[in-house]
Amino acid sequence: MQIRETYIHYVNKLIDFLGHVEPGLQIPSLKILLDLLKSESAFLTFSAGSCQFSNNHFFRVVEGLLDNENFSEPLKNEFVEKYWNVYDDLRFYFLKDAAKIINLLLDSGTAKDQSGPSLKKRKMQEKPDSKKLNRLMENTFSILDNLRTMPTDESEIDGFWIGHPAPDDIKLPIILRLQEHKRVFSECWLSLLKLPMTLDSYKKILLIMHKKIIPHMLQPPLLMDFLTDSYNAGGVVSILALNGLFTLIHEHNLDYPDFYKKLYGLFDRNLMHVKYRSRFFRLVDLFLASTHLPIQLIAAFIKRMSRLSLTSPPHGIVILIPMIYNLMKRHPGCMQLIHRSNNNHEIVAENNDPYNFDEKDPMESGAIDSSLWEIKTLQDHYYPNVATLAKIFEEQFTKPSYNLEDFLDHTYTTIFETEIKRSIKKLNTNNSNNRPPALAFEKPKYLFPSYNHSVNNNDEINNDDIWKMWEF
Amino acid sequence: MKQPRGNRGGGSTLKRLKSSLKDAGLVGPGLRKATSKKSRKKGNVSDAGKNLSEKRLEFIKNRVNPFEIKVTREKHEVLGRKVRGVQGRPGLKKQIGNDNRKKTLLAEIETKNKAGGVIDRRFGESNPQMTPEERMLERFAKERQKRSSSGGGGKSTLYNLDDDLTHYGQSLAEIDDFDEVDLGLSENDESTDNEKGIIDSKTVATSHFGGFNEEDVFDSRPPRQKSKKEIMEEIIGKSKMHKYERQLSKEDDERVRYELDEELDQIRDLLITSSSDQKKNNSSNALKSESNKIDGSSSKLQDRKPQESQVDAYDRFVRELALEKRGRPTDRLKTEEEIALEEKEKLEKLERARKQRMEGINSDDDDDETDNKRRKKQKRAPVADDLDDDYISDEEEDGGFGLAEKQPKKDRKESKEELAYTFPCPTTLEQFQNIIEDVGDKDVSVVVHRIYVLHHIKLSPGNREKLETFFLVLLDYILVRTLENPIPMELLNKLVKNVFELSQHFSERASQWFIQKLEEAQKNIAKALPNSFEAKSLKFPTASDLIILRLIGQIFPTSDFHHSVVTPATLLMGQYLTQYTVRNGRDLLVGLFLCSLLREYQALSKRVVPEVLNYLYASLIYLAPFETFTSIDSIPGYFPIKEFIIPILQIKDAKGIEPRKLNFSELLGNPINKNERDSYFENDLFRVSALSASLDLVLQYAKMYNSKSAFIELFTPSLTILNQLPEEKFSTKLQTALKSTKDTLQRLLKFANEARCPLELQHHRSIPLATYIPKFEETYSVERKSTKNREQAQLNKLKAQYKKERKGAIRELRKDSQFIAREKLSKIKERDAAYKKKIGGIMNILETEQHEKKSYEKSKRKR
Repeated sequence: MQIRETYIHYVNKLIDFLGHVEPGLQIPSLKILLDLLKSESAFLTFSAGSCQFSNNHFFRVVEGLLDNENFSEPLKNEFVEKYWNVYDDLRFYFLKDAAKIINLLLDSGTAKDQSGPSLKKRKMQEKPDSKKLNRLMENTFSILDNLRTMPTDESEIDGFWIGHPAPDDIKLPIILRLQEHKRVFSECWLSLLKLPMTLDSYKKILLIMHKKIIPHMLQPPLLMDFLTDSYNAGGVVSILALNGLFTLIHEHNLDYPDFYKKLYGLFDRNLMHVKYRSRFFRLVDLFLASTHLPIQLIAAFIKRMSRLSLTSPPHGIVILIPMIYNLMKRHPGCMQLIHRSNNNHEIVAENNDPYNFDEKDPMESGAIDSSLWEIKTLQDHYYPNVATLAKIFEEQFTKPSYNLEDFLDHTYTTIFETEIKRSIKKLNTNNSNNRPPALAFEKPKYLFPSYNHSVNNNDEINNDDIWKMWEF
Repeated sequence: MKQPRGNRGGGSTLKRLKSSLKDAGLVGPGLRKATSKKSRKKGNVSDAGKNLSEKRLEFIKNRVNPFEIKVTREKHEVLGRKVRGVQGRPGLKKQIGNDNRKKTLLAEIETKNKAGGVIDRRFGESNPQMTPEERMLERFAKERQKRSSSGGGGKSTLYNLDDDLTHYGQSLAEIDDFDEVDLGLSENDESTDNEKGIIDSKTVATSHFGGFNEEDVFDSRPPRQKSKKEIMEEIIGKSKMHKYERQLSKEDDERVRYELDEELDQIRDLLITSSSDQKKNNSSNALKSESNKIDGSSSKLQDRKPQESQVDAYDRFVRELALEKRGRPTDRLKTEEEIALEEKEKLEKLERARKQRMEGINSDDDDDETDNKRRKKQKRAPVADDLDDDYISDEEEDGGFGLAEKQPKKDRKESKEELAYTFPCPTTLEQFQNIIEDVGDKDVSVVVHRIYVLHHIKLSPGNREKLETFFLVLLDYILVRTLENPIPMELLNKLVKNVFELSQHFSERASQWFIQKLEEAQKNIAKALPNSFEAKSLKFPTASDLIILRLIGQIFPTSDFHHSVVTPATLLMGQYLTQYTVRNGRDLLVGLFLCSLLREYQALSKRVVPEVLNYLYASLIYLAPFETFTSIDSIPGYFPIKEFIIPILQIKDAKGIEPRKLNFSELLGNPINKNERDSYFENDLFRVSALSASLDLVLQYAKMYNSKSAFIELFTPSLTILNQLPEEKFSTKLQTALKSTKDTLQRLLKFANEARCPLELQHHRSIPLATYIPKFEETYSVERKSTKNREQAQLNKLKAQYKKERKGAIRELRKDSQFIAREKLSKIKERDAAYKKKIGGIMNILETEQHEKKSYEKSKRKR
């Protein structure tokens, strides 16, 4: 008994060490704990005769990891890289235990899971305070985020920490079944999504949704509520949710009413300035690819995009213009947006612009009777590439279509760098036909006009007017 | 194979000739019988017979030798078609070509490099058709004709006397005609040419060798015959008239000469400038005294003397005039080098003078000053197209070089106020700072200009590099000065001119420097952006950044479609405006400043900068008084906005606070005291001023983008925002500003609405569908080459012609060169043969002599 108690004491101490500030203590503790897990399981297997996993012990380890104030980067890496991503059984039980821990905490004492290890009961008494929830959420997510190996076929389940379980004749042990793996994965995620989360991790989850979560879910439609809520939230979150939602619609037969209306709503004033616009436009390109969409709808989208282009930075305009071009190419009926012959001239002239920017329904927006004056104005954009690009609408539509990928990933920095590179290259090549950069020919009278200057020079009212609100 | 008539048959050429001669009856047994023995003996063949035989011979000669005909065999014979060039006589062609060349090319070659020569212009000399007898006959006839018609020559019908006129009993016709030919010529010609004994060209042409050939000689019709009396009367009358006229003109001339003599003094005064006036007086005085002397010495000659002295004076003047300097061309415009050199020398001289004065040496001053004056006189007035001089010359007057001259000379100690005139060219910022350590801010610009002048690029090749470094130093210096507070605007205003001046020479270096600065600024943004959650890492551009941007706008043209410095700069400003979140008053102000700057950048080209409008609208919203906008959805427009309330910027209570101008260096310069500044930003005075500035900017931009097609879309939001601002919360001045802005916007929007019509961008011809039907031509014919396009056809024709001509020319040239080569060779051969023959003859003589000598010796020995 003495030994057993000492052992328990030792294990407790080790688990405490997991939450220690110093990663140098955390990592060895983790290693020892997992080694102990191995020997405990070996003992259990030996005594039971069949393959056993000492989940009681592992549950505590998982708890120690997740409910950890000092969940350090080295510890996470150690666990994820060396164990979690390598051994299928560890991952399996981790997911299972993590789901259980979260659910327990959320239920906070109501629905008790009897089958759970006895130790949790002590925890259940505590009230789930938001801090703890947050911590749990962050830690769990940081581990799940790093998931790299997830079996997609039963034959892939082959890495075991405690030893390969001998397959029974009658049925496969639980650990070898792919379905079970998927189930625990789904459970873990679903319970994680119930936790309150920060905007940052919310975005991150949505970002990985379609690639890392949905494919491994047992029943992806279960995520529908979460995604719909996110989609309705508006702003960046909606844009991010779009991807997951699309996967559900596309691959899992989710029926989504008023999808285009919602999509139209996503084109809001901040759209062109958010980080994830390239991702969004990739999808929009996909959604609007169908040639069976009504022209009013497409026109509404085009008009809205062109309206937004008036307030976008150059890299945003550079996405919008090829997009509009492609849409027009695909739906020649929209050509009246840029070319309307004189006979129905009066209609527009009377009620001014029939397009209503604030109308939520694209079909009612009246865009088809409008014109893309914004694009025409952009032909005078200060950035020469944008100006040139905007001029394509005056040429014949002979280009097959633009490859959007070429335009999506620009930012101010990339545009600026290309410009600088170009300038430097121009300066460095000593070509004879390469003229030196042009200079202004008018000699400046001053750096900034001062009072005296502006009073004296009557002939230059125009330029000095600009500075009349300033005092130098 | 023998043929009865050898004409077409085989056999050798000789055989065929024989047979043909026989056929013609020119040779053979029958011939002798035809003419009598007697007559043959006399050598008197009948004319008819001779002619006949000649004709026959000719015929035989001309008959085509079948071997000379070359026939190209046709592959397909088409009836009724004539093809040119099937039969040809290459030998004949070659012969003709050769003959022609001998006539033209050979003649040319032979006269090559030979100047002069005799052109044979005798009648019919160059006509090969004529026999010499015919030629002589013709010439004789011509001469007779000429003689008969040219009693007096073509024009002088007046003197065309009858043949039976006699002179000293000799018939006029028998007097040599050549003496009379010239009668028709005008007097002038006679006087010029004939005096020198040269026969004028006309005479040569009309009467020398080939002259009889001239047409006009025969053209002149024989005039109407006049009676002798009439003619004589006419002659007499005319000669009298001529005489009278001559007298008249002579009198006229005399008169004019007298007049001239009278006026000579006046004319001379005009010719000779005032400087030589004195001389003239002197000389005339001298003359007078001389004449006086003469007067004194010999009074007898008094009558003659004035005349003599007059002549003498005249000669003198002539000599004087000859010796007088000619009017010289005015000074040419100086080259840039010379101007630079002059400037440099001037500065150096001034510096020397200053040093001397400093050391108390006063002796040279006068010289220097006069020197300077002279120099000043020489210096031309500034012209419009010399860039360097125009403003500096102004400065020279008040602050710079003029200063030194105005300095009182008694001032022996060096005063701080007097600037040095020469400076070394600084290579580092420290050096430059040392140089200007003692110089007041207002003179730094002058110092910079002096350095520039002293090390002008054109003065020495090394100066370019020196100035380049100095240029960069200057730019760095400006940056250093912008860190001060308050920013020395006066200084910068002057320095910017220097920078501009220098950048004219180093445009590449300047752009490199600015690009580098831009890159640094951009890197700062990029660094700050990833961790944009930390407010502290974000730094809005500093005053130096802003001044760099401003400098760019002044040194480079901002209206270019693409410019290697301005485009990145504009992008950078766009990024500042878009990606920085405004957090306090200073940020807002920097943004507004950038908006003003961009407004100036686009003043000419009027390009659209969406970032600016976004920023302005956002700032209007930030500055709006409390509770103007309640939620983010209540904000009109479609410009991006993240947060709509920044408490620090909201106008709290603006009543009674008048907007002021925004002070650049005070607000944006390097902070001295943070608290003080914060307090400046955190009051309503600042906010109201900023609001008024934004209003003004909105208005400026609205006016600039007035003509843009999307003007309505661009500016409707601004009007809605302004309408929502509570007017009653502002002071009266701001209220009126707001009102006028709104009114203007409304008006502009109304106009834009009226003027706008739907876009018509696609005025192209519709693209036809691709067709796969082959192209048929309805009226196709083999004969005609495609006559679809008249112009094209003509062009093709011309092209073909050109090609043909070109080929022909090449062929001809080739043949020419072959011909020349042949001729040369034959000449060489001829020469060689002659030489050989000559040598052979000589050798022959020598051998004979030798032989004789030997045989003589032999016989001698035998004996």
